[in-house]
Amino acid sequence: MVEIELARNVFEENDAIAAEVRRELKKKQIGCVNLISSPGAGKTSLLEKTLQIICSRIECAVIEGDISTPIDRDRLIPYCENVVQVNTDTFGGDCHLSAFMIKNALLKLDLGRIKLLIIENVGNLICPADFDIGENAKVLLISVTEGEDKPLKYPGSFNAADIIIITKTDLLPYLDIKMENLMKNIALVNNKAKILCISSKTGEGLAEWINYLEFAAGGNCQNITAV
Amino acid sequence: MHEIGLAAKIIQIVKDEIEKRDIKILKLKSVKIKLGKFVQVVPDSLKFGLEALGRGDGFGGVDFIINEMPFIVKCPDCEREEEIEEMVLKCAGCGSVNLKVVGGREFYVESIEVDD
Repeated sequence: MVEIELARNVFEENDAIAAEVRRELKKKQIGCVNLISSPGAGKTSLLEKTLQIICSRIECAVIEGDISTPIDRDRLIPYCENVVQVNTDTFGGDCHLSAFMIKNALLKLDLGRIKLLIIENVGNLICPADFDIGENAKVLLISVTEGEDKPLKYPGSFNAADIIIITKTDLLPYLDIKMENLMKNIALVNNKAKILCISSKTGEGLAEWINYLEFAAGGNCQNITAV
Repeated sequence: MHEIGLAAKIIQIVKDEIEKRDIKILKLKSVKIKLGKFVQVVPDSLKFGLEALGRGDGFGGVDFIINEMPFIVKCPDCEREEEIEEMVLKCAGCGSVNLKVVGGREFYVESIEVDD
């Protein structure tokens, strides 16, 4: 019996395409953020509010990831003309976006005009964190209705985030969740992320997020957490 | 949740490697995989996927061995390095919260064993 060493990374194919996407975006000076959360944390609602404000200032594009339906694209089209829906049911119903899906989606966008690309990943707090899709920053959303224990239950995704947005903060008066406990739990699994608190309903906290995106536009968001 | 897709990638890597070396598939006895505890992949589900997909690809008798790699953190403040079970980025030695993950993110096909 002979043992032959291979040492081949299982993610090698995805990582190579992600690097290609990242190079292309850098060349065109496009900043790219990857929004990750559980289903229903408020990614699309945040984008609706974000695009209403930012599209008059910066040329934006959105890639919408979902297993099925163009529902989210249809929600965003009134605010941004450059929205591409990617449905993973055509790729076997994957629970995350992969780099090749982004590479294909970029072909449908006029990259020469765009300065900011926002990718809304498939709602899932596990798998998307392991798949590089060529973004400059991972942005994780957690809504206050999900409970203060989630950072400890999903440490992989929380640890991978560059920015963590706590959403639906307008609901705090009606919930038992303690913000200080949520913050403490986040700090136990991620000691570097910037934390923002936003209510898409009332607009509270949106300004800081918009500042981040304006900084990120044009490809500056390698240092997004330094803002 | 994505173990089947990753199992398919592993099978493809092994197929590429044995073809490249002109090794007959029947000579392949085992595939060793290193999987870090911090990678969000369930070892049993991955093994199930490898065995199920492998049968269809002529890898029926192949033993897929998954070696789990420990989750290791290092404290830049007191230099303590330790293996942990749960991700809590607080140094058990000095209480620092600046811990760096130095082990547990591995996910690669380490080696194959073939008959002479």
